[in-house]
Amino acid sequence: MSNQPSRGFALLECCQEIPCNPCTTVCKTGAIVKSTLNSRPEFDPEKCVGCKLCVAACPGQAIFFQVPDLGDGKASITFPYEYRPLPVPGQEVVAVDRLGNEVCPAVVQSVDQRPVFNRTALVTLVIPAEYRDQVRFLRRLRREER
Amino acid sequence: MRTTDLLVIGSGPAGLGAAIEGARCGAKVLLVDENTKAGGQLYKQIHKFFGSGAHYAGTRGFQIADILLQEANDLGVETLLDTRALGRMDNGCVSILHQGKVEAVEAKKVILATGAKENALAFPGWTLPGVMTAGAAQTFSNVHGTLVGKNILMVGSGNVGLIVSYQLMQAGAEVRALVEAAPQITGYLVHAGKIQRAGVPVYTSHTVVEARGTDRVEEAVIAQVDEKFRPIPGTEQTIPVDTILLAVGLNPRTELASMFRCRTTYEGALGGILPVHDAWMRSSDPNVYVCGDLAGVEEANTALEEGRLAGIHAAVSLGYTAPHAQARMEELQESLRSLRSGAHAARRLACKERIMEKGGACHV
Repeated sequence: MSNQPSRGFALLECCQEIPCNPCTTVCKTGAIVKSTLNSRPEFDPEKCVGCKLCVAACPGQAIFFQVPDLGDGKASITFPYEYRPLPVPGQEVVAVDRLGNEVCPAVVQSVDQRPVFNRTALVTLVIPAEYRDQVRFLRRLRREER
Repeated sequence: MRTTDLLVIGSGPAGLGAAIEGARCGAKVLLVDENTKAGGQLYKQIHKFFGSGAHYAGTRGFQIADILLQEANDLGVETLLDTRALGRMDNGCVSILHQGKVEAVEAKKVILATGAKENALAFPGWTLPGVMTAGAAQTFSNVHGTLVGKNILMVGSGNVGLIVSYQLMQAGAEVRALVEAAPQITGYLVHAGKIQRAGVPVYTSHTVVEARGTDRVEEAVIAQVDEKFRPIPGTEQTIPVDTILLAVGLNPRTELASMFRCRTTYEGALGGILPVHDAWMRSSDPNVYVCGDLAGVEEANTALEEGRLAGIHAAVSLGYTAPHAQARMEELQESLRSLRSGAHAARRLACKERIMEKGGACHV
């Protein structure tokens, strides 16, 4: 995966056998395949073009998108976000790990909402590259924080 | 008196699946539901569903309900809402309460898709306002637009507890903790991951031991449990909450099946006492089919497939023919096997095989 540090690739954190396959049906390049409906997905980073359709489609919200090296020691991480209010680009937020523990401050790079995402927004955070394998979400914004 | 080929009772995913396939085969179908809206629990599901493309995977539950309802309407299914099936009369007709009047329905085949109801959990203080089932809170929030509380303790880490926690946070509530008596999370870990990333602490091997408050819940006491699920003295923690939600399983709604004298069995992992059925969803009475959560509490996608199977088989056994009906039934049986073949579903598959063995033995 290290040959595309500036383009990025999907991270599939689907940890159990679940009868589910939207990740394979939305992937237009065949980068994600499942041998059976229940098997865990297999991912070929060489085929990933970075469209992020799988990140929005996964019903388990278990797919993330990482750009490991943005330059200047920064990385970015993209995740699905279905809470309101949404963050806005440029906003300073708290990046958290898989258990919601605070990791580091982060800046919102983009909030992507497309009709094909079916009301799931994709939030991209810029973070120090050293935290790219820990950060998976942002501390949820309460209504008064926006 | 109304007459019909198929009477389908319950318009959740199983009932809709049965009605759609029965009508597609050419049978006259009457679908009744006690609610004012069809779709069963699908209408309360605002999250994207698992499954394959064939099961509308990635589509939100309420959107699946809209698709199925449209299909049923297009196929000419007659639907009576706000209509309760009261029971079976001595002459074999089913009595329904419709617009304040009791009517008799003479149906050649009856398909029961009555669903399940939530289990409760008794503990000191459980009658205080603020203690309710997770499904009740979900109905308040997603149907009536009302949050039942601001600070919540969720009891149970099955998919209902995990998903309702997520949805209530989306609606603006805080889930202060989720407790699970088992030593591990029992629902899908990806559902758990959603609420854990959002900061909800999940306490496994823990349960609620007391609700405290004067006029309503003001705090919950939780405690660690031993391997026999007994609270361990000295491990109590107090959490300030205004609401305690119980997501501790469901059990099949078997009242009508009992009136039809359907033979029953017990399968704890599928919710308890339930009617046996064969591989085509026939109960011990060849004119009565059972499907969905009534036939074992599982998921919406299995309910839909079971309903479809029942609908086709009932229509075909009345002499209706649809192209590839036989192949379609085999496909549905295969699809059900596939949906139950993941590691997470192995226990459900074993239960279903026992049920079908007992159900099949009724028809030799």
